[in-house]
Amino acid sequence: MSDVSFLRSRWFEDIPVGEFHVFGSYTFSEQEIIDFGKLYTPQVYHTDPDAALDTRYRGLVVSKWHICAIWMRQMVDYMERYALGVEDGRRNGAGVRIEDLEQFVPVKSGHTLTFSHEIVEKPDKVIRDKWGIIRSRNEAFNHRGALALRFYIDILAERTQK
Amino acid sequence: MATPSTLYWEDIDIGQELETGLLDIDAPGIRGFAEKFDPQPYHLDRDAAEASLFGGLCASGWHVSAMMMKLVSEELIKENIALIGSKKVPWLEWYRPVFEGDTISAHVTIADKSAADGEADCGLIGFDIEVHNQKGKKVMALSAYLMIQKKEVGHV
Repeated sequence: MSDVSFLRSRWFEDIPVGEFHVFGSYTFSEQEIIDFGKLYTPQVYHTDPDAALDTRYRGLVVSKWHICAIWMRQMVDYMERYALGVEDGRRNGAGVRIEDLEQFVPVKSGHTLTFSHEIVEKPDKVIRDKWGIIRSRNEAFNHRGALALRFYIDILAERTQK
Repeated sequence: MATPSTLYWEDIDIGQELETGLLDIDAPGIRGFAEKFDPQPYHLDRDAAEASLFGGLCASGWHVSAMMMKLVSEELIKENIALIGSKKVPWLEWYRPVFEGDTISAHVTIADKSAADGEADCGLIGFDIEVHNQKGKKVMALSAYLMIQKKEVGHV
């Protein structure tokens, strides 16, 4: 990754509340649902398409943890494309807290999710002297326009004023 | 709680505790997840990671979450707990990086027990989950509400 040129990243003070982004869309395949399920979420409705038919989901479904992992990839790809993101890890830091992670409709193979990201708050907190918190609401809508998943996340951003 | 028969919602009590197995973290594992889901330098490259706020090659927070789910799921299967779905995660916090060479495990406490709105065949159990490294330091914690099947199907 060291030869990929990252674009300029933003300071905490430069990130405005209310900013709204759409990261992009992703369609889940049956095999990748099973692969993720076998590794991390071994419930039958994430790993066995036939047995999944007898569950409340009536078929193989994507785990919310898998949806969140795809969200992360969508965000990283988006940030690289639009000059908003990580330079060398110093400027934009880690996610520190999630709130209200909830899934509202099952997501199955062949379904497409579109991911949105809105900066909702910059809480008045300083972490380890130099980091501020950017709080965002993140939503995934399916191909029928239904809200499939939502969570809030606090991500650190370096402050110019230390 | 170790029993060969199925544990339903009625059988689970607030205050009960579970301990999961262990997971060893290595660089190929860290990179494997990061390449797919979180390709940021500090999850892929040792030099970049050492220069970053983390100080060393570490797993993506979402990878730690996925590994937590693996550990907890395996424990629920071992205890024969009738898990039929997941409801919500009110909060999750990442406290410390998980570095290559670390070993993680989770401590689970039954914190809440309630009806599931509109569901006759299951109830909600609130799990407080704490993930520790081999030094006993907390790396992540969360609250997760899971849907557990009821022995006696009730009314909605």
